[in-house]
Amino acid sequence: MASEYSRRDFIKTTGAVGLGAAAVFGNRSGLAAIEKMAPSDTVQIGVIGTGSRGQHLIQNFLTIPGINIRAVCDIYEPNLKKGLSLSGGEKTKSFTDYHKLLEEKEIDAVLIATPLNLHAEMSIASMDAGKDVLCEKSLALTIDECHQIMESVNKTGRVFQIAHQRRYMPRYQRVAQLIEEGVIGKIVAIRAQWHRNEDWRRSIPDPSLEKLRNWRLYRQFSGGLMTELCSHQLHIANWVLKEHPVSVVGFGGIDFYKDGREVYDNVHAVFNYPSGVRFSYTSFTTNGHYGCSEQIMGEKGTIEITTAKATLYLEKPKPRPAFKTFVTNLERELFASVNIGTASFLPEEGGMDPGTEIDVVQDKDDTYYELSAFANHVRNHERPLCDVVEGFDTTVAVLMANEAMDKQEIVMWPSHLRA
Amino acid sequence: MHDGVVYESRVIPSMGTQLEAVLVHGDKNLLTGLLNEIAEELTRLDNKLSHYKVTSDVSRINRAAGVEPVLVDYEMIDILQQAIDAYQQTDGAFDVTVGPLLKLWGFFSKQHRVPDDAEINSVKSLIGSDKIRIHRAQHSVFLQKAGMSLDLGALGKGYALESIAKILRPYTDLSAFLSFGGSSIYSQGAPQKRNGWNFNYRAADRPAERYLEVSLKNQGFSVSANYNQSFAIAGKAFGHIFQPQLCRPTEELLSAAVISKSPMRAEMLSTAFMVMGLDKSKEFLAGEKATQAILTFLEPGSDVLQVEKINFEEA
Repeated sequence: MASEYSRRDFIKTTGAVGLGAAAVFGNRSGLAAIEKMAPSDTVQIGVIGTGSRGQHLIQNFLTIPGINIRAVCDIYEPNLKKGLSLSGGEKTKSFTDYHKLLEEKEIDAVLIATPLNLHAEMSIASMDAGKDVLCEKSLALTIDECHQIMESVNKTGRVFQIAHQRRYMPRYQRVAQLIEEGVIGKIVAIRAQWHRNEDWRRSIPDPSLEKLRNWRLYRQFSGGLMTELCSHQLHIANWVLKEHPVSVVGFGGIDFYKDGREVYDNVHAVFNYPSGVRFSYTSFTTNGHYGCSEQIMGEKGTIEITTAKATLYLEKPKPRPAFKTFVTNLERELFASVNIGTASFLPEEGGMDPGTEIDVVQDKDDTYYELSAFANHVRNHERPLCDVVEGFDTTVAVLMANEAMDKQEIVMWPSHLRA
Repeated sequence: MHDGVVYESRVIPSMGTQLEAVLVHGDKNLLTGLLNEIAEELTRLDNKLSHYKVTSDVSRINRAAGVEPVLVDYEMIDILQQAIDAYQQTDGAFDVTVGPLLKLWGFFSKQHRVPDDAEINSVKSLIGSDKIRIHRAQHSVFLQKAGMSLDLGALGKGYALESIAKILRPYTDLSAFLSFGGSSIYSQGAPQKRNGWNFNYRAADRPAERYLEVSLKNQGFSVSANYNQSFAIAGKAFGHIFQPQLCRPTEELLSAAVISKSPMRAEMLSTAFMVMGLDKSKEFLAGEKATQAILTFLEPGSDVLQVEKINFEEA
């Protein structure tokens, strides 16, 4: 393992994954459903890692009918207490050693929301203990670990879902459907960025906690912007293209924050897909103007997805209905005259399509959809949409990008591990 | 596809509206290439004629109104000369300098109003194509008074259709239908198994919507009407086509459609006839038998729509 920190080290000293005053959202609409549900339908969850992400997921888990947070685990006491209070107080068990949590027979599934270097050992141990797993992205810190997790899923047959929540969000589902229907034609290029203007640091009550609180900034725990941000967006590219990159180039650097961090504060990478599509990516911590979005460009149009909405821009203007009928009649040799003529004066705006917002209802937290899907996957013991293979294909690609930036070389897909 | 014939259509944003084009031929690649060529030609003309583009000839000429002559190419000289010729032939009914009037009546800002006499008098001296000075040898154009403004919206689409027709004409086995937003249309040949390109146009919205059928073959068509872009104040409707001498919107005709070999001629005359009204238009057309017109109006004092077709018997 790349990390010099063992599990025990993590349990003793890390896990303070973040702060955040989390509010507990009630779920009145789900109460009737819970009462009707047989006890076996309630999924018993153990949460490993109750830092900021774990807390966010707990509070959203509890808005879904048929979920019980049976146990929580963290090594950082303030976060453990917070996780416990979110989960229901005295009914929920708490642990500082995740192995002890895994010994709990009643637990059906675990949520792993720990630093990236711990995903592999925790996922594998959980599946060996007979638990289904929802693991935060990215899959693991190294390509070897990714492969080990995939082998463990195959060996144990457990439900394993990787938490790329976009895969389950109605907005992205609708976009994927429109692309499948050919609305933008053949995809020719994809571009995405996640730009922020913040140093990505968390406050530390004690200097000894620096690496543990700010694990995202250190290579032994984190792949930096690539594993923490890009993976979500590259996953969208893999999804709509139905393939994974075969080679990657990129440049990155620690060019602004000279604070001892080890991960790049800006990354620029191009992922090359077998179909000839390229995915261009940038992520900064020094300029936030363009924010977070994906732009999927096809021969007939572009779909841009932001954190608020998805918009379709057609390359060519839509014909007036009368003109469409006129052409259709010609092709069918229908002789009816079409009302195509009309006086025009001050015209509509010409030029490029100003865009049409894609109509989709998404009124719940981004993570709600993946969490409720996971609960169903566990109940039905079915393979998740966002399974270990999707996790593997995404994480391996972003790890390749880190390698490409480190070595300043083209990095090829490890086809000995997966074609 | 029928009998090896391909119908290739495309919508191209241009001239502030969009060109709807259908080309018919056996060779799809030829059609795709021609549509690309048409799109390029339209970009070129938009860059020259659009008053929305600050770098266009029209914008440059307007900015220098009352200041200095502006150098242009000979295509622009020819276009403006045709506009001035039409101004003279129609006794000033067709006039590309009515822009300041439309502005005064609020058509550009879409805040419509009826200006008072003093306001109208203040812009009167800015109207009139006789105040456009063309110097052919120096290839320059000068608007004599500051505040004057050219707007080629009443001929630009027609000119663009003539330019496209020149591209298509060498392909004698190709038929084509080209329509700028439905108001300026040119057709070449006829589609399979037909004698011409048939379609309906909206001739009136009063007392009810009324569509009339026309058929074109190697001809241009244009319709002007008062039903689009009109506004009403205190129960009175005002159209967007102006009577330049009176500085007021025209009222007599509901619509004027013109068919001519030249789509630019058709476009200019459809506007001119709206200004001239029924009697003057008939008088004009008596001297130009090759041009056909369909004029609609309400019978005076009633709600009955009248349709007057002129020069169709000779066709």
